[in-house]
Amino acid sequence: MSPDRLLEAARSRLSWQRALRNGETTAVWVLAGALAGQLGSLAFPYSLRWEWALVAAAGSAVAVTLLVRFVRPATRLEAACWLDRRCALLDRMCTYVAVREGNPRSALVNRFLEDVHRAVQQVHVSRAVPIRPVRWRAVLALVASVVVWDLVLSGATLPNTPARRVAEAVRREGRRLLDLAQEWERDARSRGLVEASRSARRARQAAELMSAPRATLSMAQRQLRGLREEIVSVRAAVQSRMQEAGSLADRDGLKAAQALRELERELARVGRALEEVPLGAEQAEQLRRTLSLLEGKLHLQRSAPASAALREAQRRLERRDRPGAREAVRRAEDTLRELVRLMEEEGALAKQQHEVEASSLSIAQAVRGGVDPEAAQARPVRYPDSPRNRPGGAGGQDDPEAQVWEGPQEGAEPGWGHVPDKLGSATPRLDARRRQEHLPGEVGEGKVFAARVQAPGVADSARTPLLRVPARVVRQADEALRAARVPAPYREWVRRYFSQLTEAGP
Amino acid sequence: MDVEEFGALYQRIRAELGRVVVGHADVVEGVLLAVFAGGHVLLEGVPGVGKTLMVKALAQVLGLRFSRIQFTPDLMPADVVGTNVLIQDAEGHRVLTFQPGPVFSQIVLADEINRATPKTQSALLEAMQEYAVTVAGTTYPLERPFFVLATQNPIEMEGTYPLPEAQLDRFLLKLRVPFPDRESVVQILERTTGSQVPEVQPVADAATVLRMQALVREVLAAPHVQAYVARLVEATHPQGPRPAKAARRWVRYGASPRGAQALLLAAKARALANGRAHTSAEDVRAVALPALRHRLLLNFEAEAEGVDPDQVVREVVEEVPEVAPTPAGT
Repeated sequence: MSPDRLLEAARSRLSWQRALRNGETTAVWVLAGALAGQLGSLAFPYSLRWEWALVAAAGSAVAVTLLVRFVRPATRLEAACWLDRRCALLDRMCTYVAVREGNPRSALVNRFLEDVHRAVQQVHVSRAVPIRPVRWRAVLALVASVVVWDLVLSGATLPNTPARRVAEAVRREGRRLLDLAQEWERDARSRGLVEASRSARRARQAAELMSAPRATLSMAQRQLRGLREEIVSVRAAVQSRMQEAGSLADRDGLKAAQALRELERELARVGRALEEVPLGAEQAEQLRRTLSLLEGKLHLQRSAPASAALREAQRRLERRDRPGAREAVRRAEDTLRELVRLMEEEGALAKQQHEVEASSLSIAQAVRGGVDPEAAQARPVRYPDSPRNRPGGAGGQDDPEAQVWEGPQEGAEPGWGHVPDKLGSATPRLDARRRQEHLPGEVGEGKVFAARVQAPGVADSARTPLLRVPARVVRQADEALRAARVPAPYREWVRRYFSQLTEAGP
Repeated sequence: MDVEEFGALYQRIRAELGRVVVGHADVVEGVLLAVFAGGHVLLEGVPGVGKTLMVKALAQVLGLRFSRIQFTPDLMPADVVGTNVLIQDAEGHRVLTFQPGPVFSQIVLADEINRATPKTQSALLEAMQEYAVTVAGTTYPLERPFFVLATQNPIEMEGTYPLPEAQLDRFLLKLRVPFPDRESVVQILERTTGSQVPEVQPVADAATVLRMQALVREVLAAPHVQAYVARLVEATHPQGPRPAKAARRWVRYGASPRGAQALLLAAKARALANGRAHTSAEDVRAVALPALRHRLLLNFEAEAEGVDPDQVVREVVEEVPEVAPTPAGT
């Protein structure tokens, strides 16, 4: 082999060798970073899956390898110096490169070239420039560490860290969804909602994973995302079928379903009437009008199969074709039943989607860390009796105090703190007579709940001792009522209470 | 002359010298490298280790005229370079005639050079550098080849005059002649205390030596080797851009450009002696110690701690990488 060919071969191999080693180094760094990232996930709310780490390491290693190989290949001088070092050529190749470039000039050049030709015959380029991984042990060790960590320690968190807070939020949402999913499943089964039942089962599986002790954020997000996409997809299919069945898009689903169910019952009655024999002309006309009336109440597209079937039934009745009319009414009945089922499916799926999105939102809030997930989790409490929540307001819109009534806020808004701090000591229980009740759960698939609870007190005389209230106290109460911000509707109650005390006093 | 002829002659010279000089292979090689590189040598060693014998034998082997100057404190420059003397001829005319000193030779042994005063030591400066002597305004060229091989005793420092840096720098190599090992001493006794004292035969002459010197300069030195030499010398300078750690700590002033020249020339001679027409970094490393050790001016801290220049040079050589770039990650 001539020195030039040897140099070219060495240069090519050296370029690959350098590129591979750079790639190896990159992989080592990426894997080490992934391992550090996994360590960080003990304290911070993120999770790093080993598949991502391996793909990132492999991808970056390949990219760096190709980049170094083709963007910065080895030069002839580098290859020559490498050969000199590896094959103990005493700088023959480096000097050869310099001589070929015309520097230096000497009377000994020919003698030197002969020497180089002799020397390179002993060189095996594959041995001189081996292309093999050198850091594979480090890479393997890091890969094993990353995988083992993910399999064994995934989901582990340190106490009092954001990661622990998020993990708790994930588990709490998992438990909440689990309860809901079981309820949805029972409900869907009892109502024969196939799609809703299927997605409820899927929600239950996701919730079980989320409520596991080592549930991770990424897993929860993945499950919720997948679940939502699945529900959205099923809903789209259901909505499409509803459209085909002639449902109007702008109708309120639940109300429409109720109305249709009512119409379905009406149709069933008409169907039964059609089976009665004989069917007089007057009776037929009455039935036709009823059908016409029902068609008008359908609020479906004109081309809807149910509407068409009803129109067909009316035509049949006009022709006194009772069996045909009966068949058309049955068809309309079936179509309506299917539409009602679809609407119920849609309603159940919408509810599921809403809850899944609420869970996603709650977890996302916990990740952002700006709010206490406990507080964020708490759903706003509405007090139906409060003037604010009453339509029109008990105190009326013109009552200024009714507008500023805030009502109990403790626990109703997101925030920090503990309930006892806000509410004070627990309310003392009155010595009221109560009835022990046993609440049985529903028997069926899934868990059965049963608990003994204290039911509301039964009607009885008050046990609070009544004392004589001096007039001075009544006056003080009146002043206090005037000074205090007692909501207007309650003011009268308080006054009446004190008045009763006065009347009942000895 | 070609590389093979040089190598053969070199080996014959070594073999001939080996007949009288026992051991000291490194010193003999160093002296020969300096001779063929056209430089001067400073030999440092205790008395009686064969320094003078080596030089005399070298002169005989190379077929060169030899003179020895025993440097003493009362030695005057004129005793070295010569002087004009008034000579009266038979007719009574008196003329000033230049009487050449012992420096007018081809191999000059400056024995115990550090015992003479700096003024006398400096008398060698022009001869060593310019290969000429100027007396009373007249310059007298010295016959080529011309070598100065100076010796100095490292232990008897009282009453001596350490060589000035300028003169030290003019020596191509500084060789340390160690005490011979036991086997060598036995061999010395065997050779020198019997009735037959070995003698050397000349195997070359002045013309041959000049041709060999010319061939040394033809040896190829690739740019990366020259760069390596430059980096080595640069690393000995504590104020330089890239000083070695040892230089930063122990050196007051590093090697001069003449040191770089000496390093490369000695490396070239070594390459040729080893049958190669090109110099390698290994050659440079091999001659770095004798070529640089006398060119480093150590600082007070180094003197106080007894740091040897050899240690500094070794550390510099270890620290400065070859020019050969290494692939990343290897």
